[in-house]
Amino acid sequence: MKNVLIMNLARMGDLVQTTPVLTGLKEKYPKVKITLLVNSVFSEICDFIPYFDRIVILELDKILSEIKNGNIIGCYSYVKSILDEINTVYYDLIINFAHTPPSAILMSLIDAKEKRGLSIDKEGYSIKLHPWIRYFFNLLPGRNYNPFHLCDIYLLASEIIPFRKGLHLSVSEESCNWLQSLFSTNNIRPDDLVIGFQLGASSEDKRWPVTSFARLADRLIEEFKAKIVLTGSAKETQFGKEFEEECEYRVLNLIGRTDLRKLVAVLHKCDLVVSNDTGPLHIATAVGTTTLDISMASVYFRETGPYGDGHYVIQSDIACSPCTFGRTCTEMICKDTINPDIVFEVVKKILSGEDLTFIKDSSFWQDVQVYRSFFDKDGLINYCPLIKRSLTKKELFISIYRETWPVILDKEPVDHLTAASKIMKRLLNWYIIDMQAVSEMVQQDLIALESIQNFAYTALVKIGLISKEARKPDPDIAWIKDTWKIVPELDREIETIGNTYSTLKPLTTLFKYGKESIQENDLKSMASSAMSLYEDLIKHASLITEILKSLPDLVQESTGKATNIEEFLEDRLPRVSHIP
Amino acid sequence: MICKEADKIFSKNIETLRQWDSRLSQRVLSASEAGDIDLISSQSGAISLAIGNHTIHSKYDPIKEAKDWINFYLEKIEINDTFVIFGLGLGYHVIELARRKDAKIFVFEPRTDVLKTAFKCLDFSPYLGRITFITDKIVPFIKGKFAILKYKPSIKMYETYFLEIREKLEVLKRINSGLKIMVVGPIYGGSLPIARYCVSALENLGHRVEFVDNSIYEETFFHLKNVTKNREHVNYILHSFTDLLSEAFKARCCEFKPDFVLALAQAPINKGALSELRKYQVPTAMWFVEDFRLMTYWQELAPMYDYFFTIQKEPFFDKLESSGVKNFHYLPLAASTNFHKKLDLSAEDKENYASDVSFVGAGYYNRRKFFEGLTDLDFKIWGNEWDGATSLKKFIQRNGQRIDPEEIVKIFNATKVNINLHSSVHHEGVNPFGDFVNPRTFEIAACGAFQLVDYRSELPLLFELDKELVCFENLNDLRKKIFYYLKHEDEREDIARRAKDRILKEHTYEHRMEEMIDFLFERGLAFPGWNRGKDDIDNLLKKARPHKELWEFLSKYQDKVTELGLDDIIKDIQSGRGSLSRVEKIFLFANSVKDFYFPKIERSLE
Repeated sequence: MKNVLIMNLARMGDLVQTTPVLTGLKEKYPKVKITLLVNSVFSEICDFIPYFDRIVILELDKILSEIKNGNIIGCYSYVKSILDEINTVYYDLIINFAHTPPSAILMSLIDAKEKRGLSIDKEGYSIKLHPWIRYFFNLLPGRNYNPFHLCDIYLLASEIIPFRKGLHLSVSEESCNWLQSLFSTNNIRPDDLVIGFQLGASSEDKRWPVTSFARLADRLIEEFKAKIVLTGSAKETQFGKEFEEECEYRVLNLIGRTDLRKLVAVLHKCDLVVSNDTGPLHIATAVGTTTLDISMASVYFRETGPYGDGHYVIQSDIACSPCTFGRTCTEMICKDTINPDIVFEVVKKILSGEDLTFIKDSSFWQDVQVYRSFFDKDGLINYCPLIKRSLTKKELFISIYRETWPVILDKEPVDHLTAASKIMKRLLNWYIIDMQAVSEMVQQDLIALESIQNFAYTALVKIGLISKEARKPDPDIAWIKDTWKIVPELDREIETIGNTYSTLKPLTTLFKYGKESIQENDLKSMASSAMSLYEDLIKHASLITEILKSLPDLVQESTGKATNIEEFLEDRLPRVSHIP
Repeated sequence: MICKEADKIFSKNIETLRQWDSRLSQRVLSASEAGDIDLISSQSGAISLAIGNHTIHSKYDPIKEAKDWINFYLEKIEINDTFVIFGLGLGYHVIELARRKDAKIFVFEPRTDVLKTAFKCLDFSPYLGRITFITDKIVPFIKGKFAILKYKPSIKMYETYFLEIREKLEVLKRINSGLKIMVVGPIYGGSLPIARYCVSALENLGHRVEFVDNSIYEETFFHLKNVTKNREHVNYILHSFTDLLSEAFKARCCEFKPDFVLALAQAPINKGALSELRKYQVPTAMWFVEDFRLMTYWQELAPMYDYFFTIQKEPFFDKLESSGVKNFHYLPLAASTNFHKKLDLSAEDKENYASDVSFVGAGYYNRRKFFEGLTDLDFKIWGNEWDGATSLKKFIQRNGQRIDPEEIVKIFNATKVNINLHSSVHHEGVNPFGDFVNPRTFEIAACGAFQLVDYRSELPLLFELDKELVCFENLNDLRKKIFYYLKHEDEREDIARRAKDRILKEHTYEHRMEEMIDFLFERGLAFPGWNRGKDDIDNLLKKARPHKELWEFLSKYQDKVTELGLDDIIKDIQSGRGSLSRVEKIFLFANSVKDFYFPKIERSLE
């Protein structure tokens, strides 16, 4: 692997979340030259991203302004010049992490040996290249059952698991010096407890109320004499003003007063950052600062929460959380469930110096759950619930999918018993399990899984026959067409099951995307690709079935032997080290 | 210097021209040659021309020069059948083109005396059937694609003239490559189907049409009409409703950005909307398919439209003129031949719809009275609003329910003698002063069906009476003709066939829409100033020169359109099939950037 192009035209946070891939690529292929293709609006952050060799900046604004002025030649020339710049190198691999229609078309214009990500075929139809990229698109319909973080999906699509875990950004010495003098003029001493607050977020619904942040600050200052530092961009100045009006004490308001370089230094210097799910949360994580992510509305920590060992998430635990994408909620109860007292208690526990691995449930914690992040044995991030509660169907399937998706997508060998016992061990540690209830809970899903296998098997047999006929020197096309007729019907049946059983939707959706992405032109190869998709579907459905069926016995065996959470985490959670 | 046989050549040319364009031949004959025209002998021996200080043809070899000039154009032009040449001189290049291409040629030359001189020098007569000379600024409506060939020595001399002609030809090119036309229909009534036929005809002619179909509000309109018995209140409500629909129309207009708006009679567009469109220079046309005597709202609205089309001539024209309406034009109704056509009826249809005599239409006063005189015949009355016509009860089909347009076509086809009596609210039968011709006349004829129609003063302008169409003047006359034609099936069929042929030749909605656009062009149609994000195709090609791939891609549009924008390119790509080229992908990328990021940044109507 000599040359790799990483495309990411998305936001700043997304760019930071690409850093594990860069790290992994450099570890696996030490001589690789990595080119980054980024959107100019968010390119500044690349100054702090290590492990890449070249950057190409795409000015989308320029394209928009040329179109607006009706200058199609100017628009063409600009895009062409960027393409020429990108194509000065022939790439062994391009990975498109942008997932947008423009990025898909752009990908088709770049020359490379192998492409992964959203692209278009030669006739312009969208195709998702690589099983884990197809999985990414499955996030939307199958979101509630997704166990993988965005960073990890990027890694899985890149087929690397780095040794150096987490996000990576560098901090400049110059800005550290600037910060030191700023702190000293503002009466913040080196041994003071500094807590950063990120009040803004990319949208209103993702923002924890400023008044709540202010109440939290009051208590932290009163009980810990903490120095509160507000971070944010110039667009967020209003939140800073509101905060200063609400808060009883003086804080260091740096909103709109730092460029990206200084912001990185500020977040690096904090002992803890309390933040909405937005860019600075990921920057803080990347510079090694412990973070507490307040996760509300459509934000789902499993996808975009802090990516690193020993960070914390407070997630609203109400039925509608997280909201479906694109929905406008008029009654954001989730924001009320996460009240300042709850956040204060979590911060207090983090700051206590004790290793926070367990929170005793009580009515105080009603409607919220607190998670702690850690890198699991598979090298991917995981979030351990700190309050032990009854196992829900959702959590059960998340745990199952965590084990089964790699088996299907990476073709990893596994036997259902090993997988089931791994899952059971974890569930017993993290949840209160009533196996009788669990059995009843999944009864219908088992029937549905069987149906999926039956439909897929029928289709597989038909396509097998078609494939056989297609290989003949003079295939009977009329017969092939006639035999094919039933296949779309069977696909619809499979899709219907996914629509009816939300737990199985990830399975059926990914199968559908797979079929849409079959690129071969000749009948033989098409049949062979389709057969492999049906085989995978059958394998996956059967694996889940076997796991579900073996769970009751495993629970039986484990009764009275449940280990505690520390054993499971194997002391892998680093202690919070900045507490004075 | 002039050739020896000048007089002979001139007579031959002028005689031939007279056969094709007698007015021009007259003008050429009477043109007096100005003193600046100087004929000189070139080195090759052929005559050359200088006007004042300008040399128009080569002094060495004007014939070779003409050949080179034609070669230059023919190499890069794909069009083969229609050419427009700017500048005549002595016409070496015109004759060379006519010799090489069996094409129509339009030659613009601002000076008739130059044409006269050319006629004395070269023999144009073998080609005059396909060469049109234009020496004024009236640009004929050239249909289809054409290529403009510029003879620079002439252009240099009369730049302003050629610029003006070029502008008009640009409009024509744009018309020929398809306009964006917004058609606005009424909420209900007789002009509604006509609006739909216009839409379909315009589309058939290659235009892009947005139909503002207000019939979706019919139910609401009638609910509002009956909301209270207080007429004053109802009037206010309906007025407000029309204002609302006017707003909706304006909004759609902003989005669609039409080249012009065609409103059918009764279209709910208020004066405010019309004056706003005028402000934005969006041309508006109304086809007033109503009787101006009965429907007098034209007095208020006609001056607000840029173009006004009528189905009546005098005295309506006089009245329009005195109301300050400038661009009005007579545009009779027509038939939609996709819809109104001869059918091969099933036995069941024949059983349901056949009769000796039938009438399809609403129960107007004159019809109720008149049809009592046909009650001894195998007579069927189809249509609605016949309530209270007790003496006709057994003839009224389906209790006077509204009949679908599809069924009407079947009735026309199944009836031996279709009666067509124009409506009147005053007369007992035939209106002796009736002028305009109703749609039914054209529709029955288009079906190849036979009709007897009450005499209208405009009928002889549209059909040859007795040969293509038979009229009646009163009940006795009608009865006599019914009996005659029921007995003479062959005659009936011959007349119907001829009427149908006439329709196909002259009276389809496609003909009308063409005539309408022709009139708009003649009256100096200018396009609105929407920011269309488009650029002139020649300009684009010039700018695209450094990019070979792009230039080749854009070249294919050269003879098809005058201007081109990203939207046009995308539409074209999306309608295509097969593998995408690199250039196509680049444009698709730019367009997807616009769609994906533009809404987040800024989107404005213009």
